[in-house]
Amino acid sequence: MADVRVPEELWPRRGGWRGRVVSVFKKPGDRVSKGESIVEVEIEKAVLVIESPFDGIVREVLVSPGSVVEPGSTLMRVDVLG
Amino acid sequence: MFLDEVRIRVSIGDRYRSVVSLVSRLGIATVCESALCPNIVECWNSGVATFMIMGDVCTRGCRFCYVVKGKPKPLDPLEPLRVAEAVRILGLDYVTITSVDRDDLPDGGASHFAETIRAIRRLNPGVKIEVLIPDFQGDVDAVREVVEAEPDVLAHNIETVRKLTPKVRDRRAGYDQSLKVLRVAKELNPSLITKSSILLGLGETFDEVVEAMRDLRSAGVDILVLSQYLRPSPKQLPVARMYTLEEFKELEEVAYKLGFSYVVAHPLARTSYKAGEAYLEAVKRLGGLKVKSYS
Repeated sequence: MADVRVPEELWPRRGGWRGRVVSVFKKPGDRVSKGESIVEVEIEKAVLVIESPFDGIVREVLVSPGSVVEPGSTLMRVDVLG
Repeated sequence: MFLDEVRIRVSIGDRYRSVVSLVSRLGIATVCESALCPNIVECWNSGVATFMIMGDVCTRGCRFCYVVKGKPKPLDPLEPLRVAEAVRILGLDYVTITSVDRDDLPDGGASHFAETIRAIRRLNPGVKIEVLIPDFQGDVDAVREVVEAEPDVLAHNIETVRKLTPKVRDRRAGYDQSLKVLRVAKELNPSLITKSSILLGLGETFDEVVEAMRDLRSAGVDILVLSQYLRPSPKQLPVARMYTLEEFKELEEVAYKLGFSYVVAHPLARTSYKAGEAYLEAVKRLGGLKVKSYS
């Protein structure tokens, strides 16, 4: 099982920003494909569309609309396929 | 059509990751990160980044900017070589370099900027270099130092209209001071392409934007960038309003009528965004490069 996190590679050395989850597109048991949108996070400047880095099955969703997240925050846990 | 929000698809590819690895390994800051640029995914996925020299801490605190303000570290004399190496590894044929303000340095960092240009060229013959410089507090000798290093494009941002300058920019910045930097650069080298940007949506009127464009043309500026101001965090100024794409188009048309060689007018445009393409278009419209001269 693997964690899907808010990518720390986005503005990699400039931390300090936080966002609020606005949409969650997956629930436990859903299949997910690599590159598919799973969560949208609103920061001051923009809405970040977060993609799944793997193919798999969602086991846990750790956020909901309104959750505050930052770089590295875990969004979901996925059973990786293949 | 209305751009009521900016959406960034966080689709990070291998090329993006290689930029992360390179700038981290070489210890070079980028304005892409420091300013939370919304274009970072697009640009870094294309292997293009805008380097920010002289550290990532700025001596000024402009109200639109997310770059960390404070007391910067001493200059790294090897930084020009690091940047040159980054250009070589990325295989860039057009480089954009900017910096923080360094009011703590006697020359504002002008000689370091000039050395960076020269180092890039030594290691990367034929590369085109665009520098987005601070105002060096209007010091003509500092501007001359950068101009004599022969960048292909010299950019300096007025950022906003005259009336809003005291509210939007640090108190050490100045509308006329910035126009002076651009004018002096052009006087020192009439064949140097100059560029400036205005952030829209801070509370300016249409007429004030047109006045600012006229002022930039009077200073000889060739390339104009009009962007939508996006508030980076609650610590910066709120967005007064979002401009429509039609409004951007209208301002673009006015700008061309005023005589700019090339205009980039789009919500997500930024001074260094797709700068190489803007340079090529400007050169075409200027009818090729003229003979350089210094005075």
